[in-house]
Amino acid sequence: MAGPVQEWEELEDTQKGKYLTFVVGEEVYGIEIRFVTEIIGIQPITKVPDSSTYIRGIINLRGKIVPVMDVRLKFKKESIPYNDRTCIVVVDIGTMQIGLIVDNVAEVLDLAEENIVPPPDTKSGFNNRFIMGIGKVGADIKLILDCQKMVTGEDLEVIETLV
Amino acid sequence: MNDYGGSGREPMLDMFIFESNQLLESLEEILLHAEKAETLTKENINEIFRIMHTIKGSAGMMMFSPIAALAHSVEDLFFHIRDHKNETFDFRAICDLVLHAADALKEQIQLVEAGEPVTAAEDSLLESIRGFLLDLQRASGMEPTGSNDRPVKPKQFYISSYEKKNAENLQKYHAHVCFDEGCEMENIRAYSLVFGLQDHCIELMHDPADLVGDATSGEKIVENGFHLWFSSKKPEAELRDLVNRGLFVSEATMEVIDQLPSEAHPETVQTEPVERIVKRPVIVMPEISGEAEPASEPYAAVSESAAASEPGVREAPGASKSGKSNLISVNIQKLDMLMDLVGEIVITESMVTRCPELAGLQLDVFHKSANQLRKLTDELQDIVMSIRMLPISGTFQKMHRIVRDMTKRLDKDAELILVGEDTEVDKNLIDQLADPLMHLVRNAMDHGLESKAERKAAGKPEKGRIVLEARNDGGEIWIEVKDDGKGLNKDRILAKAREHGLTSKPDNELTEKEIFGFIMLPGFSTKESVSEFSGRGVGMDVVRENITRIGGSVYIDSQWGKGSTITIRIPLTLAIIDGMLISVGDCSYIIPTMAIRESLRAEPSQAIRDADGNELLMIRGEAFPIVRLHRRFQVEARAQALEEGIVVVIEHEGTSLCLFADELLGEQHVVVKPLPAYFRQVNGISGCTILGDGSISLILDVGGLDV
Repeated sequence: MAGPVQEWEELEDTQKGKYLTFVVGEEVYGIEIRFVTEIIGIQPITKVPDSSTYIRGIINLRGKIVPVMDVRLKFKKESIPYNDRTCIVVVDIGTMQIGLIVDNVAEVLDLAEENIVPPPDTKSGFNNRFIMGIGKVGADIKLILDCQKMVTGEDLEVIETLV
Repeated sequence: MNDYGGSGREPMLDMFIFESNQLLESLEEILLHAEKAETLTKENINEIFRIMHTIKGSAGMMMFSPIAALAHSVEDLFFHIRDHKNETFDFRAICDLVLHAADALKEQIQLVEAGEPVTAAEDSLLESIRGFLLDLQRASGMEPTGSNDRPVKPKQFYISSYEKKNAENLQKYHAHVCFDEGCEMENIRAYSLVFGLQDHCIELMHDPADLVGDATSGEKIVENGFHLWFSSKKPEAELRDLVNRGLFVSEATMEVIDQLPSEAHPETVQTEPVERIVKRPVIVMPEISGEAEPASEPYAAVSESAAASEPGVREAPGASKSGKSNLISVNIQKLDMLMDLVGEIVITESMVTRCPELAGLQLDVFHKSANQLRKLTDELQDIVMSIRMLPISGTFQKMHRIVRDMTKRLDKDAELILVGEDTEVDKNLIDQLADPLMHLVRNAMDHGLESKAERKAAGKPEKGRIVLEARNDGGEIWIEVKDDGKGLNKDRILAKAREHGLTSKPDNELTEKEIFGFIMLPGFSTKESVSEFSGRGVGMDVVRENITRIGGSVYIDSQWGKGSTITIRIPLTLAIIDGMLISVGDCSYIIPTMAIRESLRAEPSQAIRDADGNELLMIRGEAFPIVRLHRRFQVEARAQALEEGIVVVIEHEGTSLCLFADELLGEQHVVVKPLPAYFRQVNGISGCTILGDGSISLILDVGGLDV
């Protein structure tokens, strides 16, 4: 398990400041590229009962069983039917692999640290807690997501309150 | 090895732990066997001696001196016993003592395993072993050796016997011996060499002089080699051979010399000060020197132990040393990975051969090769599975010890009968079975069997009987723990269950199975007093939990006054199961075939509703609850009315229910994969599998589907 993390750390020099951006609804989000293992088209998904609505189920990624999360549903947006632009971004956060279903993938972006500002303190939007920072590219705004928090965060909170 | 997920310990240490545990296990077996037969045979004694010797040796090598010390004391004891074969010993006391010592050794090895510093065994244990030996020595009229070192009386060798009359035939030699690098304990190797030579020599000197007492002698040998000076009448070639044959000897040179070094000739010693060389003339032994052999034998025995070990002992630890053995030990994690890979291959194979793009094509050669491939993968799968299979005897044998200890402490008389010990079970399952079986055997001893007096009064033989039986039944292993004790008291169980509020059903509605099932609920114990072994009410529910976790089930059957039988049913292996593929809407599910009783197309007239609105299906006069899978799992189904779909009747731990699905798709072998950790526990789902077409199907957990 520690393997990939170490590799990332070694690779960090080349991957630092690079973000994969994708579109969900109106917004453009970015995640650090070191988490991304691959991007695939939409796959047949097997539903798993008794799981959160935003977890669409599991897919077969070359023999590996990977859960997939619909980012639209996670951010409480309307669900739209998947089409041939819909992508699954497979991320590996060290402890697990998970696929993120996004409307479409935009580009890989270089963002210097000075171009990223912390998110506003006023927690107006519910999905603010997944946002690590706001990247500025010219006039455009990209919301940088905290990958780890997004994948594990809410479930952990739910469990803590249950306990 | 680390690439494949080794345990992270040094291979040497791993080997030591593995070997020592194996040795201790066979030691226990020998002792229990001997105790039953009420005699220690010569082979037993030799075997115990060898085991203790090997443990002492390897513990010494690994620098675990407390382990070595304890093993040494037992070795001493058996050394004495072996040399006084004709005397009678209180062998029960010996067995007790050695079992006690074996326990202490096991504890110490567990410490080693846990990476903690090894603590010395209780002094009292060491003392009692020594005391016992002293008593024996006194009884056999021997001067007790005060220090309890290896009972070699060094004095013997100082008795000078310059036999001048033979001196003219004597040839004098000087040998310089080097041992294999890293063979460890060079002083001991040298010592055995001296022992081997002394029978053939008139005079013998060596440097370093004190091999056993002086701890630094080993290092000196590593530095300077081992020097021997001796005189002998034997032909030179024979002596040369003796020296070269010594264990771990890497290099030996021998030359004829005019004179043995003595105080008068310090120059022959060169670097070493004179006083370090001890003159060691040897007693002239009678031609047949049978008496001297036992002393040197232990060293030879290390390499011989494989040949001498009982044929029944699998993976005899000594075997790995002999080089003759066909057994190797493999890290289980590697096997797990191999198993995973084979699972992938099985799936990929069917993906290739059933590729939809090939449909309708005329492919004779392809199909031929595909068939060949399928045969090979099937064979591969069988072999990989069989590698992981081990006979259950190891786990069964451990129960002997429990029964023995408990008969002594509870003052009950019982014998344990093992049936079908060679039944093979997946290695992972065996590990999981040890605890539940121990609980069951303890329960049978403590709660099941009556005391001697009670048994007599009930007209039963005083000696109770516990039968532990394993057998292979289809794709399952059945393990039975049967006792001929007093059996379960239904009324008391029921009273207790009501007291704990476990049931509200009226008496006449409860089946026997249900009542016995209560004792497997947490916190249920009918035994009033808590004994050392059981009675805390944690036994049976732990058993059930452990067995359920490995996909098995537990059944209890009992007859008041006659005894009880507890049956464990577990799948042969967890990795691949037989399943029935069913479809519900777009989804497919796998039902383990072993749980299926029957499947049928129901008539609307068979369905009834109970007062709460639950659906029930009447089959041959019995009513079973219906679980509609599409509702249970919230998926769209094609079949809504009962007659449109199919009903599969499943049974788990004595309760049956009907699953309603769209249709049956067929039976197949599936490779079980766990759900991703993200899902934690999903009720009613035990895992998933990848089907031939690459799609995923969920495997139903029959136990978790109840309404």
